[in-house]
Amino acid sequence: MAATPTPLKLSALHHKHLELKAELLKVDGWMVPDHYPKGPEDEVKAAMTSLAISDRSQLGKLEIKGPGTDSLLQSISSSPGVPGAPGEVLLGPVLSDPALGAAFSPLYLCKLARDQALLVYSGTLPPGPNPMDVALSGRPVERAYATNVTSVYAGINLSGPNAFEILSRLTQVDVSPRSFPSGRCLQAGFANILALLVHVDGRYEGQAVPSYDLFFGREYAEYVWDSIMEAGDDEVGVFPMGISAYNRLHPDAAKTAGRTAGVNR
Amino acid sequence: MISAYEGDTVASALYASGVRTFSRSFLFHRKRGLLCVSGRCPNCMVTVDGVPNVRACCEPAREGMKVKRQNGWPSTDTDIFSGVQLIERFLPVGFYYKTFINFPTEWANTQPMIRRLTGRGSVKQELARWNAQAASGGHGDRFEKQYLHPDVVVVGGGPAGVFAALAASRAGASAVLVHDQPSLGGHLRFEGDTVDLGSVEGAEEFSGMRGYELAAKLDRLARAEENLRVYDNANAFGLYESNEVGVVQGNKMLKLRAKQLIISTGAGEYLTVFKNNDLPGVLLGSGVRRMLALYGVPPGKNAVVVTNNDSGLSLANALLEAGVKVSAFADARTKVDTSSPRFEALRKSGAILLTGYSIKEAEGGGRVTGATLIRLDENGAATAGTEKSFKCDTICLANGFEPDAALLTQARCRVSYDEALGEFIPSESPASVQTCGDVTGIHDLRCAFLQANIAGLQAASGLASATKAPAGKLNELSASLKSAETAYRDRLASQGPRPIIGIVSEPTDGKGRKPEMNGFACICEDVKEKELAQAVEEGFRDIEILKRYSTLTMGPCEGKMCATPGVGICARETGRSIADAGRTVSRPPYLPVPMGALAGPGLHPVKLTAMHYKHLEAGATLMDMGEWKRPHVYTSVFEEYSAVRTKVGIIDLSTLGRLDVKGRDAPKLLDFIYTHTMSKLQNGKSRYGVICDDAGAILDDGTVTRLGEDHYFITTSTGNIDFVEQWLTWWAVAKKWEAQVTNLTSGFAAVNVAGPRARDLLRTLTDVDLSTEKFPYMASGSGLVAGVPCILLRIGFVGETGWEIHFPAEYGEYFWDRLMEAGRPFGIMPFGVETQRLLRLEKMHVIVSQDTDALSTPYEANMAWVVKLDKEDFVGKAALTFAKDEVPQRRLVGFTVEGEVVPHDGDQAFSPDGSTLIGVVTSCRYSPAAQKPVGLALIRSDLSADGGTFLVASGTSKLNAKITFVPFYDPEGRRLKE
Amino acid sequence: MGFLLACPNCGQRDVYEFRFGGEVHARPQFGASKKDWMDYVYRRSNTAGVENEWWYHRMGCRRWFQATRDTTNNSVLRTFWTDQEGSDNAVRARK
Repeated sequence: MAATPTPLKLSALHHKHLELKAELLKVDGWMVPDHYPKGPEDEVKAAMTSLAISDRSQLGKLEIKGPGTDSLLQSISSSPGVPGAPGEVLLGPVLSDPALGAAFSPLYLCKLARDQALLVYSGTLPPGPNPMDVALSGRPVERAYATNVTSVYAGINLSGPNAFEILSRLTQVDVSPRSFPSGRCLQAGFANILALLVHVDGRYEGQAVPSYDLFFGREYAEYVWDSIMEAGDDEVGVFPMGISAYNRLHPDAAKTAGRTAGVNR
Repeated sequence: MISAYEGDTVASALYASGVRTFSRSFLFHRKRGLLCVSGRCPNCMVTVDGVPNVRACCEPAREGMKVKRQNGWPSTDTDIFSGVQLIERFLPVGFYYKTFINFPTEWANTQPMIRRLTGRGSVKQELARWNAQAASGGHGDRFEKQYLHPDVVVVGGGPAGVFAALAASRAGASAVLVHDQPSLGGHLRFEGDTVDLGSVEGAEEFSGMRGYELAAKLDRLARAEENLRVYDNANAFGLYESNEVGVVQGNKMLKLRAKQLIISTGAGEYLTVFKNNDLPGVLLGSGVRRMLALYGVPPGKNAVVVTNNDSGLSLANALLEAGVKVSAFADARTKVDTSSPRFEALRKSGAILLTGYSIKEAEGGGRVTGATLIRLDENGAATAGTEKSFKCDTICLANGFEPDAALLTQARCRVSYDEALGEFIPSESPASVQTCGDVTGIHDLRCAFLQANIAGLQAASGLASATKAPAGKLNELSASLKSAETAYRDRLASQGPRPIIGIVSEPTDGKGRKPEMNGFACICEDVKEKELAQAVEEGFRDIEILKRYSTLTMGPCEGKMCATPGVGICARETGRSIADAGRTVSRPPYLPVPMGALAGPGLHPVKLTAMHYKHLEAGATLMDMGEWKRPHVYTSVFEEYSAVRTKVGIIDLSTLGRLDVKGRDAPKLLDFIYTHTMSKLQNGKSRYGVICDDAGAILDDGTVTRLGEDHYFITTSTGNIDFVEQWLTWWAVAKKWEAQVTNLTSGFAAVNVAGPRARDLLRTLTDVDLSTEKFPYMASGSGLVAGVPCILLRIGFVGETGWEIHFPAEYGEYFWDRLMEAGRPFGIMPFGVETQRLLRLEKMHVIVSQDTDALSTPYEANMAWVVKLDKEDFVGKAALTFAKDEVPQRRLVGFTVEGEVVPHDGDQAFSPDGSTLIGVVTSCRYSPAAQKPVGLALIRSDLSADGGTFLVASGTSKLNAKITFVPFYDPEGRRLKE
Repeated sequence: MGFLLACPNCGQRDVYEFRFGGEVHARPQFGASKKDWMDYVYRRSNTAGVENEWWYHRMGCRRWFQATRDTTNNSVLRTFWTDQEGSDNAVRARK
């Protein structure tokens, strides 16, 4: 059989990017928008003054579930704070176990419940068993199961001072900065569907940039994007942002992006 | 064409240009003009730019607005239907009921006419797309919602509300203040006198300035306060469980969930009941103050002021200052001190001062031309022979305030009548609700300041985030409040009784003739005082029943103008005190709210598969399946059908539910949920499974594939995934079994590649051995197909050789393209849901919830083979064990029909002689294989013998159906297993 | 009906985020009489007072838990995981 070309990975928001005439490029096998017609400078400005929306579906997501979740996380991490309490978000490279290999860079770990965590990372896992299963196979940690849910969730990021204003138009849960500060996560109804909201602020020119990641079932992606765009108005503008601008606001994410299989540009 | 100033409302602009008649009344089509000038009465409702029932006195005037008065024909100014008044005697209280109760047909015929004659604005379909307009409170083209969770919500933007919000916010609470005006300050905005807050600590910064200056200062302070968010032109329309406040602001609805509520909604004046009290030219005192101070529009040239409290004097002075002549000033109190400088000024201007007097009637045909005043005795009854008439064009009524306690009653506060104050005031309230200001019945700024600070501090003190107020501070404030309140009540008592509670009892004429009682009690519904008396006489003595029979308080004002006078009349007529007569209950919404605001932006989730755009590209017609969009058909059902039966077809099955089940007890859990045995399934094999409830009824079906010792992959039908996920996790929790269920539906795209050439096609894209030896029917496998990692299941829903291929959704479009490209030499065609339905029907494959219902057991559906009663307990085992030995009530049968007419899904089945309904057709299509219509039906089991017949009623046809249990295509299932 | 329910994982949330799972009843053993099974499948106590119930947090963590609620006034006395009743994980619902 002839050699097959590398399969192309498209986010569920791909056609939105086409509609908005984004400049696309390949990262980790995914077609992602580098920027939209206005350009990265304008996009950064929108994020600093109002609200920018970007597609984060290409992020890897690994779910760890089961009564052994806490034990597993503790055995592969030396970070203080691991495994955390439900609702906490642990930032940065929380995993320190060399058995997991260098090709796997977590951005943050969300503790969703007493027996459930979600690891969000940049880059693609190599084919074969996922790192957690590798970590599990050699250890006496029982009853913790890892499932790669990268494909299950589409991801949208909202960055900017108007983030709370838009969020409060679409969810009935208290997401005010007081009750839902940076470093927290929660699951709730958003635009009438179930979503995971993760609050991890970015940083630009010394200033914190309010930033929220939303994860929800892939099939709803266009509907959620549209709902957010329609919730904006003349006073509260919502502007699309590509990864070029996004990486400037989130320097930690930029460091880890494009790992594994190189950056295909 | 009318010109207006910035800050004008539609009402003030119209009034300034000379308009006096704003609407016609509901029933009698009497002329109505401005009355309350604060959105609390029905008189000024107009249609603005097509939007009906806009309260002109609240709506800011905007460039280009088109305003239309709503009722009256041919015009509001000359309305011929005011002739209804000529037959008034035939329209007594409850006349709809009395006239039509025995003549329902006549009612059906008369009702449309009555609807045209009565009522207010009308709604047009085009309103669905209004033109967007600027300014908050404007009527834009979309509805919005917002959800906030402040620590404290303050309702009411008068001085008390602002003081309370500042106190709470400065103590560290996050606060939201909602109020229905464009700026804060409440009645202070039209108060020209200097305000004095006394020597209370903290009040210095607010004393020594005029009322409107204090209002402006409060507005500035509130907006500058960091933890306080102010919503202008916002109406709190209801209070719901757990301190949820519903607020509507133009097109936006806010839902506020507060830990603490402060209700400072103030008090409103209500209408006095006397003959012709509804004429244009009769205004409430506070309405006149607004017109003078906020809009600079004098109500007229010559006024008569009728009052029973201190506000009347301020009102009269304000009129004089604006150049309006005051012909007479009637104060019902006998002990009021008329020697003060302000009374002097009034006297000097030529006004006749009358104490112990009130109003008997207003004169005029379509507007006020005069007023007749009358003296009251110590019981508040009018004394015949003491009438004094005055010419005037305006009558100002300042006859009492009613605390706006609607939200408080919804919060389960007690509201009861205070004899000394002459008002219904809130008494007890739950711990999470505070009150302050005029709503408490105490109309004194000093008291309001103290009450507000106590309320704000108390509200904040319950919160973890706030700084604790020193205990001494609250006690100090409470002590000050107590003495200030006592001083207020004493002063009130010293002024003598205020006998009027909204009504002036007409004098008897000494000859035993009953008073006429022609005054309007309820101006929304045109209910006169005499009608209430009549209703009481008919036996409707309880205020709640009286309300419902007469429709008092049931119009747009919802009782703001008429609740207290109505109670007063009821009390008088039934010989009870007002406290005993009680009060009607106030329910949300507090004011009319647009349905669109309640509905909000209409967020209806839509689910798209990963191949959605490929279907659009291929020209598919889409259909809705729950929230999913699926291709119904691409080209034609017959073309697609032929491709599948003779070549190869591909269908998008991404909508199927998919669950990953892992864990030590996963086999046990699945054995318990499914009627079949899953623990004995071999690795790499699939099995069809049915889930039943404990009544033995089928809940769902799907396939179970074993991927490992403790690892299963389950598919469910499209609409049932959420339910099955909940069902599995519930049983795992209830049984305390260790099994992890992960919903992977979203993560996979899936296709079914089916047809005699399916294997040939797939062989060009994968190294997986697809031969029947290595990959038999009902086996599963995994591997790369077109370079994409896949799970393959060999299942045959459509009756041909085929594979269900599940793969990560992000490859959707790529995979579809590769398959279509590779399939071209084999004649591949995409097929839609409609074709799939036909294909499976020819095989008699059951679709759960199409061919089964909420009561169908596997026995009824000819699926006895999936029920393994010899295994350990499972859900439904007991019920199915009982059912096994009984004859099922119904049975699912296959059938064919002769002729051209194809029955529809849902057509009814009758016994062969057509006499008895015996069941229903669940699915039916024309079958190319059988060359006739075929289908499935659920019918009475005693008539379900193989070869039997029944009748199908389809439209106007009666069709003969013949029962068969042999599939209409490939009955032995050979094609499937090739 | 807009009361608040304290999910043991997510905390105080609007009741509309949850699915009501029914009264808590012990399931009969296989072999029990038809009447016992009929009672279990079809009959409900409908207590006007305090009862134990199942709740599912469908717009949230998607876990099953139980609540003790007074049906006459919707005050939720407590919510708890069923495998840790009485332990620290039993959340005392705030009114």
